[in-house]
Amino acid sequence: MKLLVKFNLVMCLVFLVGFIAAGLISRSLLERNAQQEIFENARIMMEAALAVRGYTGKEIKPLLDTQMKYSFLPQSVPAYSANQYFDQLRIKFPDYSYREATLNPTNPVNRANDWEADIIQYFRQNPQVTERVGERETATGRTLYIARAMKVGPSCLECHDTPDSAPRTLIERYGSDNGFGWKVNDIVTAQIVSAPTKLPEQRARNVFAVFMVSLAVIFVIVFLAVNAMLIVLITRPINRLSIVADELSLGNLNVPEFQVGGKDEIAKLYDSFNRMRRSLMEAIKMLEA
Amino acid sequence: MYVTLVSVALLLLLPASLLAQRIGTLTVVEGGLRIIRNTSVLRGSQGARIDWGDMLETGGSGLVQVECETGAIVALGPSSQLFFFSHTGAGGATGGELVLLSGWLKAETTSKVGPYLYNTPLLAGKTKEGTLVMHAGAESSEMFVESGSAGVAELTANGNAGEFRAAKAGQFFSRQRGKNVVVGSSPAATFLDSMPRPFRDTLPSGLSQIKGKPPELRREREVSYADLRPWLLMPAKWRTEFVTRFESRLDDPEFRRELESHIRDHPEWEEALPPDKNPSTKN
Repeated sequence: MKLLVKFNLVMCLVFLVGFIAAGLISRSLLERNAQQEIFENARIMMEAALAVRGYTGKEIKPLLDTQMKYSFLPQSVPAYSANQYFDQLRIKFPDYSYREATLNPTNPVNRANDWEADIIQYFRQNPQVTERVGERETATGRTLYIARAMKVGPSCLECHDTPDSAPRTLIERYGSDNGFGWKVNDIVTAQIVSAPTKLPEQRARNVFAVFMVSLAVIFVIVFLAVNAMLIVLITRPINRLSIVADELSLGNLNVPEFQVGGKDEIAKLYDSFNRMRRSLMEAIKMLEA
Repeated sequence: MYVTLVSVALLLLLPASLLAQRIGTLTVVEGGLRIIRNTSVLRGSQGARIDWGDMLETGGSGLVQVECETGAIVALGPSSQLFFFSHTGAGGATGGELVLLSGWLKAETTSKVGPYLYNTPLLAGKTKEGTLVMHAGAESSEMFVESGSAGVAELTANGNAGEFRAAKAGQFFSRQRGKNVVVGSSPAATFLDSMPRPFRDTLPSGLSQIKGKPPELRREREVSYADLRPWLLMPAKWRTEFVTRFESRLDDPEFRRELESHIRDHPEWEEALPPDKNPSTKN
């Protein structure tokens, strides 16, 4: 078996092992990173939603207080503005969804369903926990979610204390049966951002494919470069040396000497071979004399 | 010496009399405003002062705001007529009585010196610390207590208020001509639909934007009978001073002829007409 073949076989084997190991490690890392990225995005979205809520409560609601005496304006409700903000966001990020799930909401649209209610109850039972992440099965596949507890603030009681103290126009819109009896610092709402698990998986797959193809391309380039160097620097000079040695061994002393350039091992070998050839020719001449 | 003392006394009295007349400043004038002051018709403009006795008439798309020296803010909607009838105390900073003959009015009253009485032909609202939105139509009047507290009373045909009853924030009062007041816990849908949109907000003060000397109002002409006619038909209580105020206009033959032809609508003018020209003394 030729030296080049041996060398290539070893190199391919090492690459294959490295390729598989890199694939296994990177796939798991990429999936974890993609999931983390989803959660980080979700956290940023939640913080932005909270910022919009705060802005609405501090700056928009006071401006609309007088108008609220004539007709109910959902634009003055922080939860409404947060949902509106997210609806706009979903135009560019359609995979994410946002809910302010509430145990006892004024607007029935915000009523927590079973799994959301479980999360709120979990926060109520574990007040030291402020965030929970997880996965769940849905009709459209597995979904990642990140949930945060929302405590009732004093300003919430303007609309959620008792029907008597709530704005008249709010009662006219939603009635007086739901959304009342909230207490300050109580947890009745969870802010939940969901995204399908296929989202991080898809992202991880995409990055993984790019990474593995890049790795393969790099290997091919390295393989070709190493082979070229082996041929040019090692196998070809050795073959030439072998041919000259064969000629000498058959008694052809007219074979020209190697013109040696460089100072690498092959050059030294050529040098030694030329020296040995000259010594051999002088020895033959002495014998003939 | 005597002349000097009299002059000084007159100088001291002059600002006081001016203050007694002045209500406040026009801080918003949109869509045209006509003012009847004394016997003249003037064109209203932002920054001009408004006096007691002035009659304000807004255009079809008008929006006008008067900021009183008491701190009260009165806004008029489109096609509205408001008469600053009388004030209740001496000096400029005083409460008073206003008559919304037709159209829309929003009044934010924070008077520290006396209550404001806002009349429509059928309803009267009185408040010292409250915000009222009133509408005066041809056959009905409505009032909504936006905030604070107020009193509400039915008005008789001659403009006298009956007994005032307490009105809370959020209550809505409406009265059809010839019927009693109906109280509601929220404004009627028709009221909300036709109410000028800016009235849904707190009236913003514009006084800080008014700088320098108040502009002189542009005088258009002397008041005609047609200008005065809506005011001459309002309940008698509010037009008691009209004969004295507009008597000089009888020198205008056109005014006089129109007045004489409608004398039955405002019989208090009979005494102002000479016997030979007074239709009721003929024959």
